[in-house]
Amino acid sequence: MKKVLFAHTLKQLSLSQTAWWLAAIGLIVLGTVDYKLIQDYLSLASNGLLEGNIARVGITDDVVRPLMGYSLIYFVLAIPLVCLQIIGFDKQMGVMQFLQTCPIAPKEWVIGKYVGAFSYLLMLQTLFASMILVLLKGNHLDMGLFWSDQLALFLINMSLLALGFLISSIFANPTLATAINLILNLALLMLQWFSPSLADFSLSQHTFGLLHGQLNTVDIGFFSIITYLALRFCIRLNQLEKPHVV
Amino acid sequence: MEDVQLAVENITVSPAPFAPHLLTNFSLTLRPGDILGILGSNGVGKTTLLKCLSGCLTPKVGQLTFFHRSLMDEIHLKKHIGFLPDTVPLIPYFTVYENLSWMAKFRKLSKTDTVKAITYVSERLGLNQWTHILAKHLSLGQKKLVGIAGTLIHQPRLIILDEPLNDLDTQVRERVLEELKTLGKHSIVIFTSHYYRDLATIANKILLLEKGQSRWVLDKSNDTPPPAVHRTRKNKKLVVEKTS
Repeated sequence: MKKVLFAHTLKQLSLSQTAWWLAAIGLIVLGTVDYKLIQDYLSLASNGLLEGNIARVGITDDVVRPLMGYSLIYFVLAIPLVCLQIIGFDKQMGVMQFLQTCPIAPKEWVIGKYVGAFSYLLMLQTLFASMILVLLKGNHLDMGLFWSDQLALFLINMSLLALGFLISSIFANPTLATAINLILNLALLMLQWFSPSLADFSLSQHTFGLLHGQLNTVDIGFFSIITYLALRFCIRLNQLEKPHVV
Repeated sequence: MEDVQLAVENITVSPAPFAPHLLTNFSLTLRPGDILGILGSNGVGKTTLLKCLSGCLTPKVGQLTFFHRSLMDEIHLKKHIGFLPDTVPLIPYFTVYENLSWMAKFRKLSKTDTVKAITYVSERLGLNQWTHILAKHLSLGQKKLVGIAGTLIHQPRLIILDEPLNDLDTQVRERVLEELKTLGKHSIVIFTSHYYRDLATIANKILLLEKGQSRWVLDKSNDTPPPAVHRTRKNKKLVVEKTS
């Protein structure tokens, strides 16, 4: 049944206008940023400013890493909309209520839908990564750093999507759930600037190392725990059913 | 057949965690062949009761058994239930066929059975000419009819419909009532309406819900003479009077 739900979610996203708009906006914005970063890099290189500057490794540091940073912000903003499409609209249209009357355990539909939505995010991530991979022609990329950045995005998407699922399950009103999800994502991203004592819970704190090519089990563990707990609570909430808050 | 029995014992239900109880100590037993119509004004708890009977809302107190087993604990029992909520669960950018197909798949019907079931139910309810149309292009009545088709697609033993006749024209209404009557011979059918006339057409039991209380206004299975019902407006309330 998980496979059926996975296929259903992917089909739902592939036919939804929101999903296509999200992909289009991401490609346009990140494509423009990519173009600008490459132009800046080329102008620095043509002026000979990079020669002898040991702090600059090359195109990977000047183009790839900043682009990954922008991709991260894109996903922080896009994930609540994906959750709105997958859970919020389903709730509004009575599909969730329908699922509750089917012989499907909450665990099955939460996991099925989660994997479907995550596959869509993974496709977006691959599209954005392809913008970087075209630089391989005629350039030398630091592939270690590239894969580390991809891992950072993968982990962020995994945990934020799980949090989005949890929030969408708590609140019955899809618009309210999306707004709260967006605020929470931004707060988690910027937590370390607001309160240094809470820096350990900040997303940017845990992605900083990965975006700089430093693999750390603490960072990977942090995202894995968030994902596990959020999905666990989401399943539990849907098992309890069920009158929702608000 | 006697095993297919829906038993509700002293349940208390409310639509939200901190909302007041709409029904307290409510009990009911239904067997195949029972067609129960639920009557009541807005806000008395008709929808909440149906959600509870379909297993998507847990009663705060009491037991709900189907096939003599708890509906809340044994999820596989839900494959025998067909529930049409007040909001018809259709995905707007799927065609009618695709919508019916996912409804069937979630009820664990195989691919072959799904095709057969869609063909059968479309013919019975007259959906054949719309199957390729996107759900967002359907009228309210058409959506309702597709919702009913989706509810009946797996031939459930317990059919629960929340105001199924709303938005339907006279011809379609009669077709749906006829279909429910046919299904009601072997299954338990529960449906709600604001109109006694709609319920009385096919129901052999009619329950009136009123401010947390319920009473039978028709029960043919008990051979008890039902009280006559007069729909009159008295202080804007529905009045049910017993005549000698």
